[in-house]
Amino acid sequence: MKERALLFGEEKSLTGVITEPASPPDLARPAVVFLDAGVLHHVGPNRVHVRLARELAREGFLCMRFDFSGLGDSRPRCDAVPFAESAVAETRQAMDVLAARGARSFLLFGICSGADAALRVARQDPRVAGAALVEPYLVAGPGYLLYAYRRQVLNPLSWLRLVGGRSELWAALAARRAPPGEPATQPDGPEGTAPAPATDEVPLILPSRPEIARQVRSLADRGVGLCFVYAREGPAYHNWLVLLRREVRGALARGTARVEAIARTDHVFTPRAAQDRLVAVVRDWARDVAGRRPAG
Amino acid sequence: MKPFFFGDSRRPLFGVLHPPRGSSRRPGVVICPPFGQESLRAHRSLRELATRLADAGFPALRFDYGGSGDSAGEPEEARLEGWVGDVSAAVEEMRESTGESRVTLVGLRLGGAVAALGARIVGGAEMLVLWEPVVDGATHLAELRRAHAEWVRDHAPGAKVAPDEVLGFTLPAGLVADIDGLRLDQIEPVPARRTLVVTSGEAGTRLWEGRPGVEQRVVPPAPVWLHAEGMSRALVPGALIEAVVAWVEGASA
Repeated sequence: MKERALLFGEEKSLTGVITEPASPPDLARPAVVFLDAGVLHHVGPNRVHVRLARELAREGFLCMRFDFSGLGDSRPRCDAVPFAESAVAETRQAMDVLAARGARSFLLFGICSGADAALRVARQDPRVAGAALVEPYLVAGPGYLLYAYRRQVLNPLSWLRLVGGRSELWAALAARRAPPGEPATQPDGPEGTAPAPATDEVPLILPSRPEIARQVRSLADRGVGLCFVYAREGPAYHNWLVLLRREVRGALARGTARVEAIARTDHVFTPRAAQDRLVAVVRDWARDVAGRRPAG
Repeated sequence: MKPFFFGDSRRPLFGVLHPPRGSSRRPGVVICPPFGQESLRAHRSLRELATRLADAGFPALRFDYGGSGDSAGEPEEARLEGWVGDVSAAVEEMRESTGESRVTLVGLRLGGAVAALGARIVGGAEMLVLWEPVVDGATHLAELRRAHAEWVRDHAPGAKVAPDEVLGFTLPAGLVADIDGLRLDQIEPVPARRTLVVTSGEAGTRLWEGRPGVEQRVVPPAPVWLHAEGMSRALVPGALIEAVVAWVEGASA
């Protein structure tokens, strides 16, 4: 296995690291691209991108992790293209780098907002053969609040944190009090999207519930391999149960989609046992997708 | 920014070089990161520091220790001595890049200790900046374990936790032993012509107090390096970074 660092993109402003198998990669296999999770740089939460890239390279996959513009080791863009669009364009540029090395199809791996971007890319680029969507979109709907907060309500420590002022609820409430002059909500996004709630975080424009359902269903219908991985006790899993599962029912039955809910972990797979499981699940899925792809 | 691998080709280290603005011949700055979860949370701050230093005419090199970040190696093999050797390789790389033998070392948290130990083996640093350094290794280990226990309790009760993991990262027994025996205050002599110990609170500010060429500075507010509330947030203590850049500029004049 060998790794090399590079600058790529139109302005040579994006940083990437390519992981090559020890022997020349089997180019009939899809290459794997890792997308940034939130504000964390390209090594991924708890360095899991590095670990998984090296594991997949040992399996013969050509891999690349990189930083979106302005994140990690990549320079900010000079234009005003919104993140939802630039992330797609930059991921496709990363795919182009690997395509220049002979890759013909791709698997995308993204955690949290990385899964969000992976889904957008998969819809727009027919070279994508599969996407591992780890803890993807959280679209609040009926029943979500009860699901998300039931553990906290039953946990005495949550109440102690609340009384002691250490609860994340206080931070959330403070964030809702937008300073004078700032809009209370983000402007409407592109067609088919809903405005995101006001927070002190980077604004993200999330698709509506019907839109995300449609996106996932269209990928499943196209035969794109889908691997959903969740923290079993986390709120994102609720999204799977009430929204996404039914959209990919056929793909689940055909084996082109799968889901794994990992118990006793958080959103970024901090316990190492959860990381081990995540790596094994995605590795096995990548093998299966590669095995299904026609050679050449 | 120029990302690259350097050092021993059998165990290459990942680095990002920030070339200086203009054609100054100022000493290069090698930046030593913290360990584990702190290294992820500090990434943005260290990038910002390197960018500001480069803007001020100082070439700056960020890098990952072996077995961490993008560098080769397994986390299970991590030892303090190996990381100090990695600092030496980074200094060598910087000297080759600038053609200038003088070098400044900056280290954050455990990276502060690694920078100080590294400064000794590279024959002394021009300047040494210890940012919120880990002074007493045993105390740092206790802090890490306490933060890990709190995290498990609050976020994944009942999670199976191996004895050699802390906040998502492997903390192997050899490294534990190394950190446990670490006492930065006992290093003699101070391995730099000029040293700045900069913290955001009172703890650690008396390190090497009264020794020649050593200054202490406190620049609040304190960033959150370990608490769960800091997860997913980029930490950039701007005032402290400005203070470090200003000090390096002043000390090199």
